[in-house]
Amino acid sequence: MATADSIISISGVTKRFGPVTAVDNISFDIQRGEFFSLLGSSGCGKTTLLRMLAGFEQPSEGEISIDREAMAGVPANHRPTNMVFQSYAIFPHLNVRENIGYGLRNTDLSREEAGKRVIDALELVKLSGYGERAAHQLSGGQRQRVALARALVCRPKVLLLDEPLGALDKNLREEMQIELRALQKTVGITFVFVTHDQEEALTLSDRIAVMSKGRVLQIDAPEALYDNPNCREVAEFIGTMNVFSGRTMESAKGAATIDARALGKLQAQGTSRKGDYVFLAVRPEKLKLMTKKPSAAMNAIGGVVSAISYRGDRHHFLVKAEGHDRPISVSQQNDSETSATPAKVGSKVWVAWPHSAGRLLSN
Amino acid sequence: MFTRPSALFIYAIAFMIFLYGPVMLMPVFSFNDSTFATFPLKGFTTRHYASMLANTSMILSLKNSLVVGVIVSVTATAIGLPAAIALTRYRLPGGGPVLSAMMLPLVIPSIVIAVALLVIILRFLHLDLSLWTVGAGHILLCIPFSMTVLMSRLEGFDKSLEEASRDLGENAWMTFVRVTLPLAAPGVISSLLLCFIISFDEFVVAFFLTGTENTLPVYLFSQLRFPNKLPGTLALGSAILLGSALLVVAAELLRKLGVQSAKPGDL
Ligand SMILES: Nc1ncnc2c1ncn2[C@@H]1O[C@H](COP(=O)(O)OP(=O)(O)OP(=O)(O)O)[C@@H](O)[C@H]1O
Ligand SMILES: [Mg+2]
Repeated sequence: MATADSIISISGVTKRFGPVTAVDNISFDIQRGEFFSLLGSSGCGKTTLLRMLAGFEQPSEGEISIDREAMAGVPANHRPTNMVFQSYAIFPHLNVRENIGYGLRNTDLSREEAGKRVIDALELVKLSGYGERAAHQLSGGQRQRVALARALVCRPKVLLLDEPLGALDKNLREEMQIELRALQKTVGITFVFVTHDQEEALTLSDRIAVMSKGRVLQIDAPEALYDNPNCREVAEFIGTMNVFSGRTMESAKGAATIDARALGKLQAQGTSRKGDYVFLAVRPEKLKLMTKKPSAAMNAIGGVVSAISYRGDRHHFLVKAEGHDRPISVSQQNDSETSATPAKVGSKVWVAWPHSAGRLLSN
Repeated sequence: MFTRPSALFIYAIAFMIFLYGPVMLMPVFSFNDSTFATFPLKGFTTRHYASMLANTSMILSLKNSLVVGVIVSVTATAIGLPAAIALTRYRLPGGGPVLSAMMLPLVIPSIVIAVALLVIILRFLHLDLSLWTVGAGHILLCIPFSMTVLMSRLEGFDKSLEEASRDLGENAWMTFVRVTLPLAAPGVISSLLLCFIISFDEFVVAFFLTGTENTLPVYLFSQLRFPNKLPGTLALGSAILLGSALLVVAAELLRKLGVQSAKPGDL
């Protein structure tokens, strides 16, 4: 698995805290210069994995190497990584300049060089002139920048970020996302970014590892994760997904027909063995609302509109279908010609989509 | 609107009189021109202060108490700090029982501790009683207080601050020096003050463990049999009262200054 240009290699890593297995036999590589995200719901082991990279926790099993050096037994202060903590961990007894320069004492930089680096770092995070501010005089966004500058000033090979934007309000968060991405391109350092916000991960990352219960479910680029999730959990975690279950009736040439009981026969891309229990996943924006049942070239499910919400650029419908527990989500773009709402709450509709829009998932 | 606050106000005044009235009588009688501490007051004099200064054995016992207090406060805090760090920062196997054991002197009556120490020192260690043995006993009494103060301070600040220091390349010792110690400083100062006051004030253990030299409380107790010595004692008490009031004000000012720069919890 290790390729020539991988900077982090994680192989067979498990971490147990007493009876709890926080990280369960994970193996993957992170490429040099990549913006890599660990995405997963609360408690799935993202922080634990990051802390093992930083050297704050030792794996119970398995190996981690960074830049081809095995990290077993190497303490945090000797690793080529720096971390941006979720709480930022700005030293309250030091001012901004002293905070940023904290890690430079152990380098062989002269005082002037170190001072120069701190000034450059302040500029990089747009905090020039804030050097003498006390830590408690900073806003949340400014603290975040100080934490970033403090880590980057040490020129790590890998920057580890544990939900660094979690404490910021929505607007500031979106602004910082853009800045963070630009910053990563400027400095060219590998970023390992922990988040539980799928939109944030999709916006920022080159690749994302989706985690659940200590395991990695899928590692892929954002588009690939969105279009081709490899299991139901990933499909439902990234964006909204409609999932129909049923048994495969026949499967040939990369297409399959499944028997979704009350919902009828549905067709999708993917292969599966006859008789297997499978899931058909399709995104809300791939669905169309129709007043008449379409031809057999499309999948179609009859139902009743149970809710409509207006989202500016689009309308969002929930359609209740007989024999399907969850309402089906349908998202329709409001282009100028069809800006009138095509259906009302309570009206009978057909939810339809081309066979090629659905994905077959086996678990 | 005004009745309830004013009732509270009267209560507060009464409370203050109850609390400080007896203490305030001491300076009053120390300036009273009489050997007996009774009303009516006779006239103003400073002769009790002069006799206090002339009383070398009293001054000597005051010096003993100050020296023991300083040594005890520094030693107890120095012992308490690493223990407090270990108990707040690491999951020690058996940390809970260890903590309970360290807190035990808080609940054991000091007379029991005093007798136990006396037996140990005389029978097992075969040491002579002296100010050193008093100091050792006081350290034992002070450690739980020191630990309580230090642990509450250490628990109050974000543990990721120390991790950040490690992450930025500092080893364990330099992390202690550059992060833990500055942030724990207000707790260290409180611990020093508290331990000093406890030792300075302590009677029972000092009474049992002292040799030929006395600490101030033991000395004062021995003087109470002689009524003519009382005004000198009152003068000394007043001087100490003034000294500790100044100390408390100074400590409070220091704390106020410290609060602005070292409010760790919310960062
Ligand atoms: N020091 C520890 N001792 C015991 N259990 C721990 C410890 N650290 C983490 N765990 C457990 O390991 C699991 C994973 O925790 P982790 O902090 O890695 O989750 P996370 O994915 O970062 O979650 P969140 O998004 O909430 O931060 C959790 O069940 C947690 O309770
Ligand atoms: Mg976490």
